[in-house]
Amino acid sequence: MQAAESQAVSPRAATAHPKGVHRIQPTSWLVPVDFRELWRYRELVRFFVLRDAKSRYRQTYLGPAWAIVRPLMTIVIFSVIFGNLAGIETDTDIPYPLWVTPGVLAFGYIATALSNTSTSLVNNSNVITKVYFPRLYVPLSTALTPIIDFVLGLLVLLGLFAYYHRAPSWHIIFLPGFLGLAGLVVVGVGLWLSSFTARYRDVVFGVPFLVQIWQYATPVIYPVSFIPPSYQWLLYLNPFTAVVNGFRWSLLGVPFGSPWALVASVSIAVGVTVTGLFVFRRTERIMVDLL
Amino acid sequence: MADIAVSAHGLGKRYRLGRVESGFQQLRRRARRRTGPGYLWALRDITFDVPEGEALAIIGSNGAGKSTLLKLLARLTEPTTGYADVAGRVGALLEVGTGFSPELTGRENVYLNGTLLGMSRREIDRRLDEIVAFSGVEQHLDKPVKWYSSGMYVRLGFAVAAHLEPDILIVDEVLAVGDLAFQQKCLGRMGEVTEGGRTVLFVSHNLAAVSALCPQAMYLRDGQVSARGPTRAVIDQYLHDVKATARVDVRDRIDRDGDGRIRFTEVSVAGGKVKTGGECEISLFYEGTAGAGRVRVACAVYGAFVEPLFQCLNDDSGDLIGELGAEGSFTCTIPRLPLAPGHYTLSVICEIDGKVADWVSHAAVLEVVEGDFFGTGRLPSLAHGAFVVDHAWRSEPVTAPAARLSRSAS
Repeated sequence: MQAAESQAVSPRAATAHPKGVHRIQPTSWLVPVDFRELWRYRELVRFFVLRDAKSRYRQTYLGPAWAIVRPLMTIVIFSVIFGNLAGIETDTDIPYPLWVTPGVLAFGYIATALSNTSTSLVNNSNVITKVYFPRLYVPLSTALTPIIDFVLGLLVLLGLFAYYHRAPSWHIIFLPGFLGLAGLVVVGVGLWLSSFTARYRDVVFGVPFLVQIWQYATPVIYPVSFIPPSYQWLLYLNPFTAVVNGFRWSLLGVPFGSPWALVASVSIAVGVTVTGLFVFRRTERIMVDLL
Repeated sequence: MADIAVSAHGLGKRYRLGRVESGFQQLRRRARRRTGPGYLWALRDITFDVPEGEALAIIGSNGAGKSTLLKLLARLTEPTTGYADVAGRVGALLEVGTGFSPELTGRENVYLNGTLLGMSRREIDRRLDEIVAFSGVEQHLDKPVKWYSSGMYVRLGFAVAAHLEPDILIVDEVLAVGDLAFQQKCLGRMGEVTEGGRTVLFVSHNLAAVSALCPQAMYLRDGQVSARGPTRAVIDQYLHDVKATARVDVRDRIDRDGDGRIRFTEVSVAGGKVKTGGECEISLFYEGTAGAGRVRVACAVYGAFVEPLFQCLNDDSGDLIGELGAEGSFTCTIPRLPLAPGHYTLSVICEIDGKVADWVSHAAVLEVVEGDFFGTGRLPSLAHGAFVVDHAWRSEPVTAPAARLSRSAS
């Protein structure tokens, strides 16, 4: 009976209204992304990033200098432990501190962006529960904000280049591409994780471990050649392998290694992001009831 | 043909009761073969139309589903059943200053808040001067809002909202914030909006504001539409339904004012209903941390059309109060209630050392039934107006009776 009634009413709603009629109703399983709406709200990204950037270092003495201190400390620790004590071979004439830096900067971005993105919905619940806007912009802008830290971190690299009297490779023009690839993977994984976090806060506890394990599973402190050749394909299935190798290739000019790593990484990034979008859209409908 | 702005058909929203179970709890429950937590229909089969340009008030007690309906129409969550067609752009104000961030400047927050509410950058650029003038924070516009007083914060937030130009404006009790003068300004601004021909849906406990702003009202009760029509008739039915609950719990009322040094918890009228001319005892229960101070507590009485009638204030009656407990009550006694039979609402307010501590408007309903006000053994005749006042009549003939007068003339 209900169905018959809505059948009878819908033609009127379907007639063109000068202002456009939106129908609020239970949606089906698959909710496509509404790109027109995203475009209409595009300004949000700017203000979310501005807001997050401004509040990131509030009440700190060093302020944005942390964006330099943190990678610097990591590089020192890695150089002492893995470069000197463990004596990891890098297969190049590049000193270990310089060699490890692109990976540290890349993974620094990945770690911050991934953990912030996974909790972004919960952290923004005060806004999400009060006003409608495309929620996609929450994890998206959260993944963009740490790029500021990353760019500041490049100063460390410049310092190391100067110290070792070396210059970056011309491949550096490809760096934004690899940063974009890192961002795509982060957004894809972040969409999955943030959707889960809305339902189960367990994710908040799990993500730090995930990030830590992922870093060791990525050739940040060791080169791919450190792994026996028969197992290297496993490493290439990790989408961040191509990111870190790409960072090294574009900044230091060292060989990229197997191009299949890039193919695998891009395919996984696209796959995770597309499925993540659907998972997110599905959660988006009832997010407010969960938060 | 008047266009329909909002058209809801059989809208329903079901919530799962209780919190998310942990895996352990779920295992234990399954082991004991119990069924899962139940469901609650917050809204059921809501069907209504709002013609374009109408200002519709949505009233109802706490938990009647008003907020859920608002959330559905504001697209914050999805209905479980039914649908609603909404024509044009919807602006929903469920809060003042949504998304305001303490680290951003006033100007940046105006842009962030405006964008969240669906304004384009150009629209905000165009209206920035008006918004700033309305808020009155010109001099602090480029300071982070964490330096703002709470009053400035609210004014700036409302200023953005007030300059939103949606086709349909949905407003939840946001007017219940700020000082009285600012509330008046907001009410005025909302009046302009409705006069401009825009559709407004307004949810509020403030029956005075509702009847001033909205000619039409809808009364929700237990998740269903109980009445829809001219505001006065709907308010009347609402008051009739909530009449004289012995004790009204006001703990959950969020549309209150004051700094919260004390908070009213319950308002009760002894005996449930009071006779005209009978003794009326109103108790206001509170909890708080105020300790000592100069306390002014008042109970204001409003008529059926939410017009203010009178107030009882301890300062006026000379009953000074200087000490408060962590919990306690104030009781006001009106020895001979001068109100005609009918329904009245009570607003309660407490001021400590000259600053408002708590203020709940229309906290409870006072039901007055017929009574022997004059002690004549008879009920007063049908009232003219809200009051029955003590009075006496005297007749003093100045000249001789008319009969004699006519005789002397002859």
